[in-house]
Amino acid sequence: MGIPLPKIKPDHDLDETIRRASDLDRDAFGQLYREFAPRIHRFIEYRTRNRELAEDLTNQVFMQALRAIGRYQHRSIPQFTGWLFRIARNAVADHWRRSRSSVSLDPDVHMRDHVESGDFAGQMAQSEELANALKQLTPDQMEVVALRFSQNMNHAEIAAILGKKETAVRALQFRAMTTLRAILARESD
Amino acid sequence: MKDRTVERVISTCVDRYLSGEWTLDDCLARYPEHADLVRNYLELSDSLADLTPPPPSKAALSFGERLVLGELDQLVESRRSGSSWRGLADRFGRLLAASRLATATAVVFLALVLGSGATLAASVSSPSSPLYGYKLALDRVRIELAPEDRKADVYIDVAGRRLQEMEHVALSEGGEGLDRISAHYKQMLDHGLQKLQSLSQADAAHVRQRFTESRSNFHIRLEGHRRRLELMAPSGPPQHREIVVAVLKNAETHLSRIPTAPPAVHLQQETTPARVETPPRVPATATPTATLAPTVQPTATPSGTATEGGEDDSSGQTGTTDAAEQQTPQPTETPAPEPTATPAPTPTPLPEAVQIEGVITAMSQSVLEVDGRKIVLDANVVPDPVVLGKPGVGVHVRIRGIPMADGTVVLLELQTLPDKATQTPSPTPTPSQTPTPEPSPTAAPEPDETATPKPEFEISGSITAITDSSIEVDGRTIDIAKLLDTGAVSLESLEVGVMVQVIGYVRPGNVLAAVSLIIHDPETESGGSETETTPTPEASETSTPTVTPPADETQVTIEGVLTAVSEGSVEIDGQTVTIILEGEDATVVEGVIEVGATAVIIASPGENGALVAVSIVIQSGTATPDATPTPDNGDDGQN
Repeated sequence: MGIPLPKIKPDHDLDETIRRASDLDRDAFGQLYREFAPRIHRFIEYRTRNRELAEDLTNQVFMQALRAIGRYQHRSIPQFTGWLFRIARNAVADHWRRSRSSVSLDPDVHMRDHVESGDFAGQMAQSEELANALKQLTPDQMEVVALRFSQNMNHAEIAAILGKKETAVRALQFRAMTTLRAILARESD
Repeated sequence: MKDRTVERVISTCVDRYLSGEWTLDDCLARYPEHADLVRNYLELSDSLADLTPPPPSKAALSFGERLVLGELDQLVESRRSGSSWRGLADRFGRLLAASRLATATAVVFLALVLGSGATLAASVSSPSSPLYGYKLALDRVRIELAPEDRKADVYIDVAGRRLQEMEHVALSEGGEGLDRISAHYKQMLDHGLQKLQSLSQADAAHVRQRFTESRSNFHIRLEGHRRRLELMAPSGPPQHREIVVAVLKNAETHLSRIPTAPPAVHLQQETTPARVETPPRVPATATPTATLAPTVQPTATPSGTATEGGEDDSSGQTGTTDAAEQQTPQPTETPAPEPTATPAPTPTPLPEAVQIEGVITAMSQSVLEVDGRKIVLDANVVPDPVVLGKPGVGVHVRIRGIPMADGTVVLLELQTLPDKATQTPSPTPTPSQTPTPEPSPTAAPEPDETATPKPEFEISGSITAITDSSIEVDGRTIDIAKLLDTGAVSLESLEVGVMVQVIGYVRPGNVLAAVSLIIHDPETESGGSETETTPTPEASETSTPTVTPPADETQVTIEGVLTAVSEGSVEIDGQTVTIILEGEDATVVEGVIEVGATAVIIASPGENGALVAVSIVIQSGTATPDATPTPDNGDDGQN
């Protein structure tokens, strides 16, 4: 299994921190950064396979959150988590879109560069195959896989972020895994 | 039915397994009839979890936190002082760009600077500011501290800072120092290009990898600069326009000089070759050469004309030097390859690049057909092809590429050209060894009375004058008639001194026309509220579609082909976007929404996480099926 990731538990202090951060309290926002940045970073790096890019995009996510948090109406930590991850997925989507339109016709070409230049290059071949196979998933499937396996989120949490029903998330996960199995089987033949 | 059962079994097992409730054996015991499948899926679960990257380094987190909190400080400060949002947005861009630097260096750098409490103040200072010299000094420190193979990144980053200053100064009547900034900007580009050229001639695989990354970064950013300069060129006081146009030409020149990636055939000479997944393709033509120069020399202009001036090398560089620069012969001395233990590369037969101009007749993810000629993307030969514009079936393009033995051409560079429906395409490849300088399609546009307006400005500042149909902000008169007509803005809500952020486009005659206006009220802003006004759909000029750039950082712009349309949503680029049909937040729609139409959608995350369209602009009618491969995620998992 992957590196264990502590789940953020309901915490009245964290609720209060989020509220204070909404008022641009410096300490509170710093605390939120320390709390959530590692998770956002993992999610982004899982999707982009590029550590440096993940650092950039993570900071971009928090910059955007900083500008938008004044309009955020806090109700719960999962809601805040979902809000932050939605910014993150938009940041990734925006990045790929810009990359596609300005650099390469084929997202795979760009992605391959990332894979080769990133820290994953030295990992075992099997992981590389799987990482390459992930690129063939649909964006929705990829997001579900990233949230499920890099964040250990449950279907309800993922559904809240993606704006889908839990059953849809479950189906996406199954289809993603089925697709991956098929790709890996094909490549091993 | 059986599939449904399998899906349920697998999903249950995976979910329970991931949550730790069940082990593999538990799953197998419960579903022995699906034992193989269960085992297979759970192993895949483990592998997927194993792909989780390690946590970011403490240095990276520390750097990021400082970056974000530094911005928070500025945000708080700007709200207190009511300063322009534009400056803040500029700093966002700059700081984000800065994060590309080596983290450790940046942490040390920022620690020093943040400790002094003067960094961000310096970042917004203009040449007339006493802090400007300090800012330049800090930039020099950044350049000095950067590793040699990352210096090109830093140079283009610093050039970006100068560009921001130019934007600020060029648009203000009394702005001074544009000469100095533009000279420094060009100097940074020169140095950056020089570094890239040095990297392009290196032998070591890791340096070549750096080159590929830096080249891509340099190209993307410089292309962005070019677009910003294009927007700037027709604006601002007359005395500034000439300088801006000169800088624009300079940026275009540098774009054409960016060295091409060395082909992967050289990698075979390496002791430690870069990972190549498939054997390189065999070039069709072979021209012996004894150098490791890129396969294709820049076609339009000779390269390597960067001046090695110091920081003060700014006298008179207002653009008139560009023509001379373009004619400067290429230096005869190229940097010597770095010493390496690897055997000296054997002279490699290199094919000549060909140039093809024509119309794309078919297109997939990795193959283009231009008037019957197959253009392929092959990362083993050209790892990072340059694509300028948006290729699609029917689009006129100019292509440079490497001809292969099988008749295909591996793409080096693609540039879309203005529609040449009446022009006969020239599919015959022509060697690009005899370069023909051609007018760049990205040159500064002449005012075109028939051109479709595009979003071209964003101005923040306080209102200095108001008439019945316009306001003056920062000395610029902005037509707000459209917003007044639609009721999006009322004159009563505006008064001299009120802070506003206006987004709009430049109409023929250089008239600034607002499409969005945000009133920033310092009293309500501390509570996060603001008044944003955008024209209603009825008021939109359907004959002249406009695209409002995202005014909110959480918004995203999606451009693509509509693959599904329903009453309350559309699907574009694999994403479902909700449309609000009526009410204050109604989606602004320009054009006819239909499946196959190319659209630009600006959307923001809604309450439930779904994307909600703020505006949809249809850019063209229904595309041909070839041009718009349907993404494989249409309604995946929705039912």
